[in-house]
Amino acid sequence: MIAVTDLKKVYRQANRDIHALDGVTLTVPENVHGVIGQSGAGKSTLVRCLALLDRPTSGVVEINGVELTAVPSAELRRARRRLGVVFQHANLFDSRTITANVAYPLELAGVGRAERTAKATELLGLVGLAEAGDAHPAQLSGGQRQRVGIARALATDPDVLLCDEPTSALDPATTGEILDLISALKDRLGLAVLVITHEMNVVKRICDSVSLLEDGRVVESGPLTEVVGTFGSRLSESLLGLHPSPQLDPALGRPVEILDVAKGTELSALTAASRHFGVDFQVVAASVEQLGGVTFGRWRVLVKPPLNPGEVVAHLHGLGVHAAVGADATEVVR
Amino acid sequence: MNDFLTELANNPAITTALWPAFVETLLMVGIAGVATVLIGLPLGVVLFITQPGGLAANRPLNLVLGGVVVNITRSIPYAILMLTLVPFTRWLVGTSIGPIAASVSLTIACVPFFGRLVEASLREVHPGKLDAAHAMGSTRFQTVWKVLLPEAKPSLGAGITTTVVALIGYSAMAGLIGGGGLGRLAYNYGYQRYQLEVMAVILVILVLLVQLVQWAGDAVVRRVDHR
Repeated sequence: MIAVTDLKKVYRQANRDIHALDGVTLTVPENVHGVIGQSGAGKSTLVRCLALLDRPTSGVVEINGVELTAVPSAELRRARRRLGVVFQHANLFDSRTITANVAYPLELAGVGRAERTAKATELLGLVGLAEAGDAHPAQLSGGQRQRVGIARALATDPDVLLCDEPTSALDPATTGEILDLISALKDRLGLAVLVITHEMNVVKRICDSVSLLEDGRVVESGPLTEVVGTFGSRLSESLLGLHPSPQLDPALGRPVEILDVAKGTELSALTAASRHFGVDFQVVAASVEQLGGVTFGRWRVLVKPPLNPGEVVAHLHGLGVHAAVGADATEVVR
Repeated sequence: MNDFLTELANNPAITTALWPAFVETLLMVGIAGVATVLIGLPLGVVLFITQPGGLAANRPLNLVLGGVVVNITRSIPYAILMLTLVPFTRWLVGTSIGPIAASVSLTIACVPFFGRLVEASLREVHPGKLDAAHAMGSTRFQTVWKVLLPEAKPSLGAGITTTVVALIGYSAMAGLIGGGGLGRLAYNYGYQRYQLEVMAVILVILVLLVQLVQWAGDAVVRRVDHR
Protein backbone atom coordinates (compact mmCIF):
# COMPACT_ATOMS: atom_id res chain seq x y z
CA MET A 1 0.00 0.00 0.00
CA ILE A 2 1.00 3.59 -0.53
CA ALA A 3 0.71 6.34 2.04
CA VAL A 4 1.33 10.03 1.46
CA THR A 5 1.55 12.35 4.44
CA ASP A 6 1.38 16.11 4.31
CA LEU A 7 3.15 16.34 0.97
CA LYS A 8 4.15 19.86 0.01
CA LYS A 9 5.85 21.23 -3.05
CA VAL A 10 6.71 24.87 -3.37
CA TYR A 11 8.11 26.34 -6.57
CA ARG A 12 9.74 29.70 -6.61
CA GLN A 13 8.75 31.65 -9.67
CA ALA A 14 9.47 35.31 -10.34
CA ASN A 15 10.07 35.99 -6.62
CA ARG A 16 6.76 34.41 -5.70
CA ASP A 17 6.22 31.09 -3.94
CA ILE A 18 3.80 28.84 -5.74
CA HIS A 19 2.31 26.15 -3.53
CA ALA A 20 1.68 23.47 -6.14
CA LEU A 21 1.00 20.92 -3.39
CA ASP A 22 -0.17 22.28 -0.10
CA GLY A 23 -0.23 19.37 2.33
CA VAL A 24 -1.63 16.34 0.50
CA THR A 25 -2.41 13.27 2.61
CA LEU A 26 -3.59 10.03 1.01
CA THR A 27 -3.70 6.36 1.90
CA VAL A 28 -4.21 3.72 -0.74
CA PRO A 29 -4.63 0.14 0.46
CA GLU A 30 -4.81 -2.70 -2.04
CA ASN A 31 -7.46 -1.21 -4.25
CA VAL A 32 -7.81 1.43 -6.92
CA HIS A 33 -7.73 4.98 -5.69
CA GLY A 34 -8.44 7.87 -8.00
CA VAL A 35 -7.14 11.39 -7.63
CA ILE A 36 -9.26 13.68 -9.71
CA GLY A 37 -8.69 17.34 -10.36
CA GLN A 38 -8.80 19.93 -13.07
CA SER A 39 -5.71 21.22 -14.76
CA GLY A 40 -3.78 23.43 -12.41
CA ALA A 41 -5.00 21.53 -9.35
CA GLY A 42 -1.57 20.02 -8.77
CA LYS A 43 -2.06 16.60 -10.38
CA SER A 44 1.15 16.69 -12.40
CA THR A 45 3.16 17.89 -9.45
CA LEU A 46 1.67 15.11 -7.32
CA VAL A 47 2.65 12.51 -9.92
CA ARG A 48 6.17 13.90 -10.20
CA CYS A 49 6.59 13.89 -6.42
CA LEU A 50 5.17 10.38 -6.04
CA ALA A 51 7.31 9.02 -8.87
CA LEU A 52 10.16 10.94 -7.23
CA LEU A 53 10.97 12.73 -10.44
CA ASP A 54 10.85 15.85 -8.28
CA ARG A 55 11.79 16.06 -4.63
CA PRO A 56 8.86 17.27 -2.54
CA THR A 57 9.57 20.33 -0.40
CA SER A 58 8.34 18.43 2.65
CA GLY A 59 6.18 15.47 3.53
CA VAL A 60 6.49 11.71 3.36
CA VAL A 61 5.80 9.10 0.67
CA GLU A 62 5.74 5.54 1.98
CA ILE A 63 5.32 2.31 0.08
CA ASN A 64 4.65 -0.73 2.26
CA GLY A 65 6.23 1.06 5.19
CA VAL A 66 9.41 2.07 3.33
CA GLU A 67 9.85 5.80 3.28
CA LEU A 68 10.82 6.74 -0.27
CA THR A 69 11.48 10.36 0.56
CA ALA A 70 14.10 9.39 3.14
CA VAL A 71 16.33 6.97 1.26
CA PRO A 72 19.50 8.29 -0.37
CA SER A 73 19.84 8.22 -4.15
CA ALA A 74 21.36 4.78 -4.79
CA GLU A 75 18.84 3.10 -2.52
CA LEU A 76 16.16 5.28 -3.99
CA ARG A 77 16.76 3.69 -7.36
CA ARG A 78 16.19 0.28 -5.79
CA ALA A 79 13.17 1.52 -3.87
CA ARG A 80 11.66 2.82 -7.10
CA ARG A 81 11.20 -0.76 -8.21
CA ARG A 82 8.36 -1.03 -5.72
CA LEU A 83 6.55 1.60 -7.74
CA GLY A 84 5.57 1.11 -11.39
CA VAL A 85 4.65 4.25 -13.31
CA VAL A 86 2.27 4.31 -16.29
CA PHE A 87 2.49 7.57 -18.24
CA GLN A 88 -0.15 9.37 -20.26
CA HIS A 89 1.75 8.92 -23.51
CA ALA A 90 3.32 5.57 -22.53
CA ASN A 91 6.79 7.10 -23.09
CA LEU A 92 8.19 3.97 -24.72
CA PHE A 93 11.68 3.98 -26.22
CA ASP A 94 11.32 4.02 -30.01
CA SER A 95 14.79 2.61 -30.58
CA ARG A 96 13.97 -0.61 -28.70
CA THR A 97 11.74 -3.50 -29.60
CA ILE A 98 8.63 -4.06 -27.49
CA THR A 99 10.35 -6.86 -25.58
CA ALA A 100 13.41 -4.71 -24.94
CA ASN A 101 11.16 -1.89 -23.72
CA VAL A 102 9.46 -4.15 -21.18
CA ALA A 103 12.81 -5.61 -20.19
CA TYR A 104 14.42 -2.21 -19.60
CA PRO A 105 13.73 -2.00 -15.83
CA LEU A 106 15.11 -5.54 -15.46
CA GLU A 107 18.21 -4.52 -17.40
CA LEU A 108 18.75 -1.78 -14.82
CA ALA A 109 18.24 -4.30 -12.04
CA GLY A 110 21.03 -6.44 -13.52
CA VAL A 111 18.86 -9.39 -14.53
CA GLY A 112 20.45 -11.67 -17.17
CA ARG A 113 19.33 -11.48 -20.79
CA ALA A 114 17.54 -14.82 -21.00
CA GLU A 115 15.63 -14.20 -17.79
CA ARG A 116 14.74 -10.66 -18.88
CA THR A 117 13.32 -11.85 -22.18
CA ALA A 118 11.33 -14.61 -20.45
CA LYS A 119 9.84 -12.16 -17.97
CA ALA A 120 9.07 -9.59 -20.67
CA THR A 121 7.36 -12.23 -22.80
CA GLU A 122 5.28 -13.35 -19.83
CA LEU A 123 4.23 -9.76 -19.08
CA LEU A 124 3.35 -9.10 -22.71
CA GLY A 125 1.10 -12.17 -22.54
CA LEU A 126 -0.51 -10.74 -19.43
CA VAL A 127 -1.44 -7.50 -21.23
CA GLY A 128 -2.59 -9.33 -24.35
CA LEU A 129 0.34 -8.53 -26.65
CA ALA A 130 2.16 -11.87 -26.72
CA GLU A 131 2.73 -11.59 -30.48
CA ALA A 132 4.13 -8.06 -30.59
CA GLY A 133 7.49 -8.65 -28.88
CA ASP A 134 9.67 -8.06 -31.94
CA ALA A 135 7.83 -4.99 -33.20
CA HIS A 136 8.86 -1.41 -32.47
CA PRO A 137 6.57 1.03 -30.62
CA ALA A 138 5.84 3.03 -33.79
CA GLN A 139 4.16 -0.05 -35.28
CA LEU A 140 1.58 -0.25 -32.48
CA SER A 141 -1.63 1.67 -31.90
CA GLY A 142 -1.99 4.08 -28.98
CA GLY A 143 -3.88 1.53 -26.91
CA GLN A 144 -1.32 -1.17 -27.62
CA ARG A 145 1.50 1.18 -26.66
CA GLN A 146 -0.23 1.88 -23.37
CA ARG A 147 -0.49 -1.89 -22.77
CA VAL A 148 3.26 -2.12 -23.29
CA GLY A 149 3.68 0.79 -20.88
CA ILE A 150 1.69 -1.14 -18.29
CA ALA A 151 3.71 -4.31 -18.87
CA ARG A 152 6.92 -2.31 -18.44
CA ALA A 153 5.63 -0.75 -15.22
CA LEU A 154 5.00 -4.26 -13.89
CA ALA A 155 8.41 -5.65 -14.84
CA THR A 156 9.96 -5.26 -11.40
CA ASP A 157 6.94 -6.77 -9.58
CA PRO A 158 5.99 -3.47 -7.93
CA ASP A 159 3.61 -3.15 -4.99
CA VAL A 160 2.08 0.02 -6.33
CA LEU A 161 1.07 1.06 -9.82
CA LEU A 162 0.97 4.82 -10.34
CA CYS A 163 -1.05 5.73 -13.43
CA ASP A 164 -0.76 9.31 -14.68
CA GLU A 165 -3.73 10.10 -16.93
CA PRO A 166 -3.39 6.60 -18.40
CA THR A 167 -6.26 6.99 -20.88
CA SER A 168 -6.37 10.69 -21.61
CA ALA A 169 -4.70 10.22 -24.98
CA LEU A 170 -6.96 7.33 -26.02
CA ASP A 171 -10.35 7.03 -27.72
CA PRO A 172 -13.36 5.94 -25.61
CA ALA A 173 -13.35 2.26 -26.65
CA THR A 174 -9.62 1.88 -26.01
CA THR A 175 -10.00 3.78 -22.74
CA GLY A 176 -12.46 1.11 -21.58
CA GLU A 177 -10.08 -1.70 -22.54
CA ILE A 178 -7.13 -0.14 -20.74
CA LEU A 179 -9.16 0.55 -17.59
CA ASP A 180 -10.47 -3.03 -17.58
CA LEU A 181 -6.90 -4.27 -17.96
CA ILE A 182 -5.71 -2.18 -15.00
CA SER A 183 -8.61 -3.51 -12.93
CA ALA A 184 -7.89 -7.11 -13.88
CA LEU A 185 -4.18 -6.75 -13.13
CA LYS A 186 -4.94 -5.27 -9.73
CA ASP A 187 -7.05 -8.30 -8.81
CA ARG A 188 -4.55 -10.74 -10.22
CA LEU A 189 -1.37 -9.23 -8.77
CA GLY A 190 -2.77 -7.69 -5.57
CA LEU A 191 -1.55 -4.21 -6.49
CA ALA A 192 -2.42 -0.90 -4.96
CA VAL A 193 -3.28 1.34 -7.89
CA LEU A 194 -3.25 5.12 -7.81
CA VAL A 195 -4.88 6.71 -10.85
CA ILE A 196 -4.41 10.43 -11.43
CA THR A 197 -6.99 11.77 -13.85
CA HIS A 198 -9.24 14.64 -14.83
CA GLU A 199 -11.95 12.33 -16.16
CA MET A 200 -14.86 11.40 -13.92
CA ASN A 201 -15.49 8.42 -16.22
CA VAL A 202 -12.20 6.85 -15.22
CA VAL A 203 -13.05 7.22 -11.54
CA LYS A 204 -16.53 5.81 -12.10
CA ARG A 205 -15.24 2.83 -14.00
CA ILE A 206 -12.39 1.51 -11.88
CA CYS A 207 -11.92 3.39 -8.63
CA ASP A 208 -12.89 2.04 -5.22
CA SER A 209 -12.04 5.30 -3.54
CA VAL A 210 -11.37 8.80 -4.70
CA SER A 211 -9.85 12.13 -3.67
CA LEU A 212 -10.67 15.47 -5.18
CA LEU A 213 -7.60 17.65 -5.59
CA GLU A 214 -8.03 21.38 -5.79
CA ASP A 215 -5.41 24.11 -5.51
CA GLY A 216 -2.89 21.62 -4.17
CA ARG A 217 -5.19 20.31 -1.45
CA VAL A 218 -7.39 17.25 -1.09
CA VAL A 219 -10.81 18.77 -0.54
CA GLU A 220 -12.90 15.57 -0.57
CA SER A 221 -11.80 12.01 -0.06
CA GLY A 222 -13.24 8.62 0.74
CA PRO A 223 -14.72 5.41 -0.65
CA LEU A 224 -16.41 6.20 -3.95
CA THR A 225 -19.94 5.18 -2.87
CA GLU A 226 -19.61 7.22 0.30
CA VAL A 227 -18.35 10.35 -1.40
CA VAL A 228 -20.92 10.16 -4.18
CA GLY A 229 -23.64 9.46 -1.58
CA THR A 230 -22.82 12.66 0.26
CA PHE A 231 -25.54 15.10 -0.72
CA GLY A 232 -24.11 18.26 -2.14
CA SER A 233 -20.47 17.09 -2.19
CA ARG A 234 -18.46 18.25 -5.20
CA LEU A 235 -17.74 14.72 -6.39
CA SER A 236 -21.37 13.74 -6.04
CA GLU A 237 -22.37 16.78 -8.04
CA SER A 238 -19.78 16.21 -10.72
CA LEU A 239 -20.91 12.61 -11.20
CA LEU A 240 -24.65 13.03 -10.77
CA GLY A 241 -24.95 16.77 -11.12
CA LEU A 242 -28.00 18.14 -12.88
CA HIS A 243 -27.88 20.97 -15.33
CA PRO A 244 -29.59 24.14 -14.18
CA SER A 245 -33.22 24.03 -15.21
CA PRO A 246 -34.58 26.56 -17.65
CA GLN A 247 -36.51 29.41 -16.20
CA LEU A 248 -39.73 28.17 -14.67
CA ASP A 249 -42.80 30.05 -13.61
CA PRO A 250 -42.75 30.16 -9.77
CA ALA A 251 -46.50 29.68 -9.88
CA LEU A 252 -45.89 26.14 -11.19
CA GLY A 253 -44.11 25.14 -8.00
CA ARG A 254 -40.81 25.13 -6.23
CA PRO A 255 -37.94 22.78 -7.02
CA VAL A 256 -36.84 20.13 -4.54
CA GLU A 257 -33.43 18.50 -4.95
CA ILE A 258 -33.28 14.82 -4.00
CA LEU A 259 -30.43 12.29 -3.69
CA ASP A 260 -31.70 8.75 -3.22
CA VAL A 261 -29.10 6.07 -2.48
CA ALA A 262 -30.22 2.46 -2.69
CA LYS A 263 -28.49 -0.88 -2.26
CA GLY A 264 -29.44 -2.87 -5.28
CA THR A 265 -31.52 -1.09 -7.87
CA GLU A 266 -34.65 0.07 -6.05
CA LEU A 267 -34.95 3.80 -6.00
CA SER A 268 -38.39 4.02 -4.37
CA ALA A 269 -38.32 7.26 -2.42
CA LEU A 270 -39.85 9.46 -5.09
CA THR A 271 -42.76 7.15 -5.82
CA ALA A 272 -43.28 6.57 -2.11
CA ALA A 273 -43.48 10.32 -1.49
CA SER A 274 -45.81 10.72 -4.44
CA ARG A 275 -48.16 8.07 -3.03
CA HIS A 276 -47.94 9.57 0.45
CA PHE A 277 -48.97 13.04 -0.67
CA GLY A 278 -51.31 11.82 -3.38
CA VAL A 279 -49.79 14.09 -6.02
CA ASP A 280 -47.64 13.70 -9.13
CA PHE A 281 -44.26 15.35 -8.89
CA GLN A 282 -43.07 16.91 -12.08
CA VAL A 283 -39.50 15.70 -12.68
CA VAL A 284 -37.53 18.50 -14.34
CA ALA A 285 -34.09 16.88 -14.23
CA ALA A 286 -32.75 13.48 -13.21
CA SER A 287 -29.70 11.27 -13.35
CA VAL A 288 -29.08 7.70 -12.21
CA GLU A 289 -25.72 5.97 -11.77
CA GLN A 290 -24.73 2.57 -10.46
CA LEU A 291 -21.41 2.24 -8.65
CA GLY A 292 -20.18 -0.82 -6.80
CA GLY A 293 -23.65 -2.38 -6.43
CA VAL A 294 -25.18 0.84 -5.17
CA THR A 295 -27.64 2.90 -7.18
CA PHE A 296 -27.62 6.66 -6.92
CA GLY A 297 -30.60 8.66 -8.09
CA ARG A 298 -30.52 12.40 -8.30
CA TRP A 299 -33.79 14.19 -9.02
CA ARG A 300 -35.06 17.70 -9.29
CA VAL A 301 -38.85 17.77 -8.99
CA LEU A 302 -41.38 20.56 -8.82
CA VAL A 303 -43.69 20.68 -5.82
CA LYS A 304 -46.85 22.51 -6.81
CA PRO A 305 -48.85 24.69 -4.48
CA PRO A 306 -50.71 24.23 -2.24
CA LEU A 307 -48.31 21.45 -1.15
CA ASN A 308 -45.46 22.89 0.91
CA PRO A 309 -42.01 21.83 -0.40
CA GLY A 310 -40.69 21.85 3.18
CA GLU A 311 -43.19 19.14 4.06
CA VAL A 312 -42.00 16.99 1.14
CA VAL A 313 -38.38 17.42 2.21
CA ALA A 314 -39.25 16.49 5.81
CA HIS A 315 -41.07 13.39 4.62
CA LEU A 316 -38.12 12.34 2.42
CA HIS A 317 -35.74 12.85 5.34
CA GLY A 318 -38.03 10.54 7.31
CA LEU A 319 -37.49 7.91 4.59
CA GLY A 320 -33.72 8.35 4.99
CA VAL A 321 -33.34 10.21 1.71
CA HIS A 322 -31.30 13.36 1.17
CA ALA A 323 -33.43 16.26 0.06
CA ALA A 324 -33.49 20.02 0.13
CA VAL A 325 -35.67 22.75 -1.19
CA GLY A 326 -33.89 24.03 -4.26
CA ALA A 327 -33.16 27.52 -5.26
CA ASP A 328 -36.08 29.52 -6.56
CA ALA A 329 -36.77 28.60 -10.12
CA THR A 330 -35.76 32.03 -11.29
CA GLU A 331 -32.43 31.73 -9.52
CA VAL A 332 -31.75 28.31 -10.95
CA VAL A 333 -30.92 29.89 -14.27
CA ARG A 334 -27.33 31.02 -13.97
CA MET B 1 35.14 16.83 -77.37
CA ASN B 2 37.69 14.20 -78.31
CA ASP B 3 40.43 16.80 -78.04
CA PHE B 4 39.21 17.70 -74.57
CA LEU B 5 39.39 14.05 -73.42
CA THR B 6 42.80 13.49 -75.02
CA GLU B 7 44.10 16.60 -73.35
CA LEU B 8 42.75 15.41 -70.03
CA ALA B 9 44.32 11.96 -70.46
CA ASN B 10 47.70 13.54 -71.07
CA ASN B 11 47.50 16.21 -68.38
CA PRO B 12 49.85 15.30 -65.51
CA ALA B 13 47.53 17.08 -63.08
CA ILE B 14 45.01 14.33 -63.85
CA THR B 15 47.27 11.35 -64.58
CA THR B 16 49.70 11.64 -61.70
CA ALA B 17 48.47 14.24 -59.19
CA LEU B 18 44.74 13.48 -59.02
CA TRP B 19 44.82 10.14 -57.22
CA PRO B 20 47.23 11.18 -54.44
CA ALA B 21 45.25 14.41 -53.97
CA PHE B 22 42.02 12.41 -53.71
CA VAL B 23 43.60 10.09 -51.11
CA GLU B 24 44.82 13.14 -49.15
CA THR B 25 41.33 14.60 -49.14
CA LEU B 26 39.88 11.29 -47.91
CA LEU B 27 42.59 11.13 -45.25
CA MET B 28 41.86 14.66 -44.01
CA VAL B 29 38.11 14.13 -43.98
CA GLY B 30 38.49 10.65 -42.45
CA ILE B 31 40.82 11.65 -39.60
CA ALA B 32 39.01 14.90 -38.85
CA GLY B 33 35.63 13.19 -39.15
CA VAL B 34 36.46 10.45 -36.66
CA ALA B 35 38.12 12.92 -34.26
CA THR B 36 35.18 15.33 -34.55
CA VAL B 37 32.69 12.62 -33.62
CA LEU B 38 34.86 11.32 -30.78
CA ILE B 39 35.23 14.78 -29.24
CA GLY B 40 32.01 16.46 -30.41
CA LEU B 41 29.61 13.74 -29.25
CA PRO B 42 30.64 13.95 -25.59
CA LEU B 43 30.74 17.76 -25.93
CA GLY B 44 27.16 17.80 -27.22
CA VAL B 45 26.04 15.46 -24.44
CA VAL B 46 27.66 17.68 -21.81
CA LEU B 47 26.10 20.80 -23.36
CA PHE B 48 22.70 19.09 -23.23
CA ILE B 49 22.82 17.64 -19.73
CA THR B 50 24.36 20.69 -18.06
CA GLN B 51 21.74 23.12 -19.38
CA PRO B 52 19.42 24.58 -16.74
CA GLY B 53 16.87 21.92 -15.78
CA GLY B 54 18.97 19.23 -17.49
CA LEU B 55 19.99 15.81 -16.21
CA ALA B 56 23.09 17.25 -14.58
CA ALA B 57 22.36 20.96 -14.58
CA ASN B 58 25.55 22.94 -14.15
CA ARG B 59 25.24 26.54 -15.15
CA PRO B 60 28.93 27.58 -14.96
CA LEU B 61 30.13 24.58 -16.99
CA ASN B 62 27.36 25.08 -19.52
CA LEU B 63 28.24 28.76 -19.88
CA VAL B 64 31.96 28.11 -20.27
CA LEU B 65 31.53 25.31 -22.79
CA GLY B 66 28.58 26.65 -24.72
CA GLY B 67 28.81 30.38 -24.35
CA VAL B 68 32.57 30.75 -24.46
CA VAL B 69 34.39 27.81 -26.07
CA VAL B 70 31.82 26.77 -28.67
CA ASN B 71 30.52 30.18 -29.63
CA ILE B 72 33.95 31.79 -29.90
CA THR B 73 35.38 28.96 -32.00
CA ARG B 74 32.35 29.09 -34.24
CA SER B 75 32.67 32.83 -34.70
CA ILE B 76 36.15 32.54 -36.23
CA PRO B 77 36.09 31.96 -40.00
CA TYR B 78 37.84 28.72 -40.85
CA ALA B 79 40.46 30.36 -43.06
CA ILE B 80 41.60 32.50 -40.12
CA LEU B 81 41.28 29.70 -37.56
CA MET B 82 43.60 27.37 -39.48
CA LEU B 83 46.28 30.04 -39.77
CA THR B 84 45.99 30.89 -36.08
CA LEU B 85 46.37 27.22 -35.20
CA VAL B 86 49.66 26.72 -37.07
CA PRO B 87 51.88 26.88 -33.93
CA PHE B 88 49.54 24.54 -32.05
CA THR B 89 49.47 22.11 -34.97
CA ARG B 90 53.26 22.13 -35.21
CA TRP B 91 53.50 21.42 -31.48
CA LEU B 92 50.92 18.63 -31.67
CA VAL B 93 51.96 16.69 -34.80
CA GLY B 94 55.42 18.14 -35.49
CA THR B 95 54.50 19.81 -38.78
CA SER B 96 52.00 22.29 -40.12
CA ILE B 97 51.99 20.84 -43.64
CA GLY B 98 50.20 17.83 -45.07
CA PRO B 99 46.85 16.17 -44.53
CA ILE B 100 47.59 15.03 -40.96
CA ALA B 101 48.39 18.61 -39.92
CA ALA B 102 45.31 19.91 -41.73
CA SER B 103 43.19 17.43 -39.78
CA VAL B 104 44.04 19.24 -36.56
CA SER B 105 42.52 22.56 -37.57
CA LEU B 106 39.66 20.81 -39.38
CA THR B 107 38.79 18.94 -36.19
CA ILE B 108 38.96 22.05 -34.02
CA ALA B 109 36.76 23.92 -36.46
CA CYS B 110 34.17 21.13 -36.73
CA VAL B 111 33.90 19.96 -33.10
CA PRO B 112 31.84 22.96 -31.88
CA PHE B 113 29.66 22.75 -34.99
CA PHE B 114 29.00 19.05 -34.48
CA GLY B 115 28.61 19.55 -30.72
CA ARG B 116 25.74 21.97 -31.36
CA LEU B 117 24.15 19.51 -33.79
CA VAL B 118 24.38 16.78 -31.14
CA GLU B 119 22.86 19.08 -28.54
CA ALA B 120 19.98 19.89 -30.90
CA SER B 121 19.44 16.17 -31.64
CA LEU B 122 19.27 15.33 -27.94
CA ARG B 123 16.82 18.15 -27.38
CA GLU B 124 14.46 16.46 -29.83
CA VAL B 125 14.20 13.38 -27.59
CA HIS B 126 10.84 13.68 -25.84
CA PRO B 127 11.43 14.64 -22.17
CA GLY B 128 8.79 12.07 -21.18
CA LYS B 129 11.22 9.34 -22.20
CA LEU B 130 13.83 10.73 -19.82
CA ASP B 131 11.20 10.92 -17.07
CA ALA B 132 10.35 7.28 -17.75
CA ALA B 133 14.02 6.29 -17.61
CA HIS B 134 14.43 8.23 -14.38
CA ALA B 135 11.25 6.82 -12.81
CA MET B 136 12.43 3.28 -13.54
CA GLY B 137 15.59 3.96 -11.57
CA SER B 138 18.20 4.64 -14.28
CA THR B 139 21.40 6.32 -13.21
CA ARG B 140 22.32 9.45 -15.15
CA PHE B 141 24.88 7.50 -17.13
CA GLN B 142 22.32 4.80 -17.96
CA THR B 143 19.82 7.45 -19.01
CA VAL B 144 22.34 8.96 -21.42
CA TRP B 145 23.79 5.71 -22.70
CA LYS B 146 20.72 3.49 -22.84
CA VAL B 147 17.98 6.01 -23.61
CA LEU B 148 19.11 9.46 -24.72
CA LEU B 149 21.72 8.47 -27.32
CA PRO B 150 19.81 5.48 -28.78
CA GLU B 151 16.64 7.55 -29.06
CA ALA B 152 18.54 10.33 -30.84
CA LYS B 153 20.35 7.91 -33.20
CA PRO B 154 18.55 8.84 -36.44
CA SER B 155 19.07 12.54 -35.81
CA LEU B 156 22.69 12.00 -34.73
CA GLY B 157 23.30 10.07 -37.95
CA ALA B 158 21.96 12.99 -39.97
CA GLY B 159 24.21 15.33 -37.96
CA ILE B 160 27.29 13.24 -38.71
CA THR B 161 26.43 13.29 -42.41
CA THR B 162 26.05 17.06 -42.39
CA THR B 163 29.36 17.41 -40.54
CA VAL B 164 31.26 15.18 -42.98
CA VAL B 165 29.87 17.16 -45.91
CA ALA B 166 30.98 20.39 -44.21
CA LEU B 167 34.39 18.81 -43.62
CA ILE B 168 34.78 18.08 -47.32
CA GLY B 169 34.18 21.76 -47.98
CA TYR B 170 36.60 22.91 -45.29
CA SER B 171 39.23 20.41 -46.47
CA ALA B 172 39.46 22.22 -49.82
CA MET B 173 40.30 25.40 -47.93
CA ALA B 174 42.82 23.56 -45.77
CA GLY B 175 44.47 22.43 -49.01
CA LEU B 176 45.44 25.99 -49.81
CA ILE B 177 47.76 26.42 -46.85
CA GLY B 178 49.57 23.16 -47.25
CA GLY B 179 47.01 20.55 -46.37
CA GLY B 180 47.16 19.08 -49.83
CA GLY B 181 44.24 17.25 -51.35
CA LEU B 182 41.82 18.15 -54.09
CA GLY B 183 41.58 21.75 -52.92
CA ARG B 184 45.23 22.43 -53.57
CA LEU B 185 45.10 20.64 -56.91
CA ALA B 186 42.14 22.74 -58.00
CA TYR B 187 43.89 25.90 -56.84
CA ASN B 188 47.28 25.18 -58.38
CA TYR B 189 46.15 23.82 -61.72
CA GLY B 190 42.60 25.01 -62.14
CA TYR B 191 43.12 28.54 -60.86
CA GLN B 192 46.79 29.49 -61.08
CA ARG B 193 47.44 27.69 -64.41
CA TYR B 194 43.93 28.39 -65.58
CA GLN B 195 43.29 24.79 -66.64
CA LEU B 196 39.52 24.81 -66.54
CA GLU B 197 39.28 21.11 -67.41
CA VAL B 198 41.16 20.20 -64.21
CA MET B 199 38.80 22.39 -62.20
CA ALA B 200 35.83 20.71 -63.87
CA VAL B 201 37.07 17.20 -63.11
CA ILE B 202 37.71 18.07 -59.47
CA LEU B 203 34.28 19.66 -59.15
CA VAL B 204 32.66 16.51 -60.51
CA ILE B 205 34.64 14.37 -58.07
CA LEU B 206 33.65 16.58 -55.12
CA VAL B 207 30.00 16.59 -56.13
CA LEU B 208 30.06 12.78 -56.43
CA LEU B 209 31.84 12.45 -53.09
CA VAL B 210 29.27 14.61 -51.32
CA GLN B 211 26.42 12.71 -52.97
CA LEU B 212 27.96 9.43 -51.87
CA VAL B 213 28.37 10.59 -48.27
CA GLN B 214 24.81 11.93 -48.16
CA TRP B 215 23.40 8.76 -49.68
CA ALA B 216 25.33 6.52 -47.28
CA GLY B 217 24.34 8.71 -44.32
CA ASP B 218 20.67 8.62 -45.28
CA ALA B 219 20.82 4.85 -45.69
CA VAL B 220 22.26 4.44 -42.20
CA VAL B 221 19.64 6.78 -40.73
CA ARG B 222 16.84 4.80 -42.38
CA ARG B 223 18.19 1.61 -40.84
CA VAL B 224 18.34 2.95 -37.30
CA ASP B 225 15.11 4.94 -37.45
CA HIS B 226 12.22 3.04 -35.88
CA ARG B 227 10.03 6.05 -35.24
